[in-house]
Amino acid sequence: MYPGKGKVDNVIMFSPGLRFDEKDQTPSSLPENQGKLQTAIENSQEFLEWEDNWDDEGSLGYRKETWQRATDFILDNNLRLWQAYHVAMDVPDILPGPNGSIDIHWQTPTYELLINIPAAPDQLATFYGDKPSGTVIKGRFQTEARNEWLIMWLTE
Amino acid sequence: MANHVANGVDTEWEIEEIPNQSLIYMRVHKNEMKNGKPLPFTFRIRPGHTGMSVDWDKYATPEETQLRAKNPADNAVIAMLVGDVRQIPEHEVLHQPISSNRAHSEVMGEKTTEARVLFSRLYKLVISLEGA
Repeated sequence: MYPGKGKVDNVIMFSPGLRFDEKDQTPSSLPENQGKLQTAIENSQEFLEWEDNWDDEGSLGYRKETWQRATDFILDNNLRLWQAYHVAMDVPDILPGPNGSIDIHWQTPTYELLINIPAAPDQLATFYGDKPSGTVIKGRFQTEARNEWLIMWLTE
Repeated sequence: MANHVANGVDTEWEIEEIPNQSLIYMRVHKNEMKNGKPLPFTFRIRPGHTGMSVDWDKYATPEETQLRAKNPADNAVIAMLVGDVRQIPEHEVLHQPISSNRAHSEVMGEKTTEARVLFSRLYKLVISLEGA
């Protein structure tokens, strides 16, 4: 059974500020996925144009600041992951979330991870991810902190 | 006292228990879909509701659910099995009929990041967007 539908095993909880151990910080070129990532980010700006009630159900529109927080998180951690481990993450979908928040979503045959960046800048981001092996991660974190451990989970 | 009075619901319809084998239907606006699939956004509590608003298949068809939208043609409809929804931690499906809709029900429970991922694995698309 794919994890999540009923029983959840091997739950790993993370706390804000927890960091993945860093290896050497040898400078290197830009991540090999940088171009695709930039394209995904540019394309995601479409929903910033949506006004309140864009779904005919009263949902809020999206602020540029929230989108910036989300895309900064992606770019910063992608670069750190590349510099520390020379690993390029898969390119996520950057999507409208509930109540003016923004979702960052990876869905592949080997894992799924959803990160939600809230509209309120002082609120922690939340995440949930799992793999067919049964590993589950979930928790909250500060987007401004070092969070490449979370992105590293995608590549393990 | 009748259940609907006890619960303060403005309707003449009795509140009933929804069995696990029932289906619930939910509209999905075209802006909530990508590549023919609902986004994780879809599984949220709409403004003015206490839970995620759905229709119980005992009293509604997918077409009726679609027609309740402001612009029906802009909405797809998905179905979920009630027993599956109740497997999501801290979630329950309650019949909450309103005078204009006997089928109206709400999926109670916080729509956390985890819950939204789990919901996105349960649905079946029963009415696609026109032209999709």
